[in-house]
Amino acid sequence: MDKAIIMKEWLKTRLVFFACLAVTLAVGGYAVIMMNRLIQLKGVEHLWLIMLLKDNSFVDVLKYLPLAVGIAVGVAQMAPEMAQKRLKLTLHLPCGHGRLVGLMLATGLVELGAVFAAQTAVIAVWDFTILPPELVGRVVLTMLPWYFAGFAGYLFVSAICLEGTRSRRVMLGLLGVAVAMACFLQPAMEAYNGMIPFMLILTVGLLSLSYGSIARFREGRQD
Amino acid sequence: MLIALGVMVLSWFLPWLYSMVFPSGVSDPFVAWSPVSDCFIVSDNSAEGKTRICSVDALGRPVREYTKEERDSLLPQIYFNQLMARETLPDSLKGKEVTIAGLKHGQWVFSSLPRDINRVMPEVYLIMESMPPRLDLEDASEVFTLHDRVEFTDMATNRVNRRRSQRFDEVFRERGFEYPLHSWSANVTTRKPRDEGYLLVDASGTAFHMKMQAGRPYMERIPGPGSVEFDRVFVMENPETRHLGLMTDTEGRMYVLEREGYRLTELPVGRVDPRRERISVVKNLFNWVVKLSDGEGARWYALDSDDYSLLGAYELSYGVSRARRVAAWLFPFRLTFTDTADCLASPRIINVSARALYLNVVLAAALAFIMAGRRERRATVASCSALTLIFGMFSFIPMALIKD
Amino acid sequence: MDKNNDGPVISVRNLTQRYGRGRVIYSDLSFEVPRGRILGLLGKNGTGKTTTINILMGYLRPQKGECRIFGEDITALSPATRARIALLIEGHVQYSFMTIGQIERFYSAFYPGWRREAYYELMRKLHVSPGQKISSMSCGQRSQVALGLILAQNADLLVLDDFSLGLDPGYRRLFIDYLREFAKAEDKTVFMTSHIIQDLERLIDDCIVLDYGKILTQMPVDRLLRDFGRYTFTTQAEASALASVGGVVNPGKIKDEAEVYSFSPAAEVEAALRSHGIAYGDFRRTPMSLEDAFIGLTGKY
Repeated sequence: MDKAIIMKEWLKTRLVFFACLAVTLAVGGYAVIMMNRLIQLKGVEHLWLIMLLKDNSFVDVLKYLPLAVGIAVGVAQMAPEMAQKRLKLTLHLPCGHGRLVGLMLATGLVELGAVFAAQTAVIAVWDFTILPPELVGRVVLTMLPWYFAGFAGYLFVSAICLEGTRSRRVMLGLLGVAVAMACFLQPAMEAYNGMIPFMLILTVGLLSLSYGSIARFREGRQD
Repeated sequence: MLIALGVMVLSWFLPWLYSMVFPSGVSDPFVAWSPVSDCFIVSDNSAEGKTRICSVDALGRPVREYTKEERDSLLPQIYFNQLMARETLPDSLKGKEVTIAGLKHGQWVFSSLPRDINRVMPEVYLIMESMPPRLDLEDASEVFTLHDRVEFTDMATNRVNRRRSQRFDEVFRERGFEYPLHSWSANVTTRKPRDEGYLLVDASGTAFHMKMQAGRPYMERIPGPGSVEFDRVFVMENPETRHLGLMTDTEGRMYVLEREGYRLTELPVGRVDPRRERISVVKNLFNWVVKLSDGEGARWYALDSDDYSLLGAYELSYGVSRARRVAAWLFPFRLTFTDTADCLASPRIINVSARALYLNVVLAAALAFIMAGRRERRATVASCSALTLIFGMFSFIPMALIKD
Repeated sequence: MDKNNDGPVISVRNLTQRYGRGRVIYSDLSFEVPRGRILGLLGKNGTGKTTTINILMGYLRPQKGECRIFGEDITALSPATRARIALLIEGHVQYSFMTIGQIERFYSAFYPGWRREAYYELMRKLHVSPGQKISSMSCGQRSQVALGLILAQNADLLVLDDFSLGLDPGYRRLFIDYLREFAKAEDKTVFMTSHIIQDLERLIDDCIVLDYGKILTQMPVDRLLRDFGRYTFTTQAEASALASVGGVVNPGKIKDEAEVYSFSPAAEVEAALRSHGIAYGDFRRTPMSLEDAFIGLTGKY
């Protein structure tokens, strides 16, 4: 039963997943190429100096990509559920609704995790060849809030797609924009280190938004 | 969750929006110590765009207003070009010969911002060669780390330089450096007259001067007065070679460190917190003006440039703007994720105001009325109103909008 | 089988529903659907047919009243009970991003009594391959996929919301034939709506006719067609005079030709006309289809 639900979610999202993965790898590759170009022109020492003195992670080009990936996967997964009120079919499946929604969200989150892991791997593997572990870790920690923006974007878009009323969708949208903005307020490297626990708690909390939308759908709150 | 998110976002966004609509900025006057009249000269730009220049007494009260020309004469250490053009530069002052070259050589400026300290720094430290073979300083080619020992890494190859690591590690152990590193300071740039390497503070609060000379370690323990534990260090590499750096201890005292014999002198500037306060030092042939400022005010200390004795002090409190006073009645607190005093993002609650309780009471009553109209349960009405007593309009708005 | 084997499969008591806080869709609606019967919920647009199905399936919380399916409150149907109910959503909506094969594999994981062959038997008749995507099929073909899934699920209760929507006559006929054969052979209970009444005449055993805010009638179709009559006659009386005649509904008149509907026998209708002083001639009862009866009960407007 669980496998079938995961299969359904995978069928909806696989194209977008592979597209996101390809774009992420391509942009990650672009970042690596740009670093390599700088190394060819000015030497690897210059890259170290810029990174240490100018607080430049060389991965800024990837900044908004996780958010875009989160939104894309969320739309690809949840929009078909609301088209023609197909969610009724899903909610009619002989499976607890909590488990059902949990599996749907888990599938999306795992896909996002895979894309973000690929992005991290591209950057980290390359960085390890030219930088010490301290700086590689610094770059990875700098990217963490961007990934949170991706997860938050996905969870908000999921809740918006599953929400039946326009007013609540607008409300969720505004809150989503605010939460996403909070992930890009401070450009300094590792600026969000102290916020990681807060972000984890918030991500868990944001899971409840889709449950709320489903509960409202079941009460008939639809425009 | 939706209500919680609403409260969070509104407590962040509404006060921010308010501060954008009603900005309340302050600008500090320019304050310098006159070696001619032995008093502070304060130049302040008024709202009309005019500059008001006056001297102030020991209590900070204006004593006499000056024209710009009069001010130039009172501050020859700053306006020597104007005085030279008018041929009114004195030959000597306070027993010191006054020449353009001497004035220029004897001046330097130091500044420290909290945001440069309050940030996550990389635990990898660039190190320059302090005695380069061609005299001109060269870009760093190696870095070192100080986790539980010294380890040098060559940047070009990303490989550990074991020999250098071993040499430095031995010196660190001999000098009694205790891990982990507490704070450090270095100016890694070739645009300076010389390289003094690093000032380091170890886990025990002991300060060290460390640099790489001809590839070999140079490290000295800086003797502190009594049982002082150092906190922050600031290395200085000015053309004038007398001073090596500024330091603060865990009690908030500030010291100047001289190169000669690592002589340490406490500066009579009161308690200093570099994590919270902006520090600026303008040094000239005759005096130092140390400025310490934060969001609430600024204080200036004039020190004798020879023996660092206190010449005078001046203080300015910014006060609270009308916009801030009104905000205190509107908002019970403000949520912010960033601060101009750091490069960190974290949720923090500031501007907590008990005055907003009056508005909160009104809003809580209004919410109870609205919810009663929606025929909500009494317990729900009571709990939502209670929350509005605490969170004010931040919870009133989402609770009034969200009907279930 | 469940503990409520002998009770009604669907039981609705005093159901009241409004559009938000506005117009009442119906109030104090009560009906039951006995086991093994095919019941059609008939009504004009906006009388609350789909609303009723949404309430029964748990997609709309009733404002008042109690609904039970297999004895369980519909606001908290257990997964086991949902497994006993096959649902067809208006417009034969299915997971159109799946292929014929994928959707069969998907649903088979949820239903222990899944009958794969029933599904593929229908698919073979459609001449579609297992790899074909549902989104690339015609509306008629999609209806057959939805039907095949319902047949394969082998549920005890089938809830079908306007199965005829968008189907041409051939597919409608195909759908009805398969459904009737399946329901009768397997003793299934069916609760359905359709906006094409004539389709239902060949299919349903019982009908509930909804008007705005109330049930007009609930009875077996054969009894309705037997007891409810359409009477035509010639008269010079005004149509408004006919409306005041007791026991008749929805009177109409074109030129001198008048028609009235009534559950009363012909003799009683004639007596009522006479008692109201209405002169008439050529009085007769004309045969009716279910659609005619529906129009007779609900009116043309």
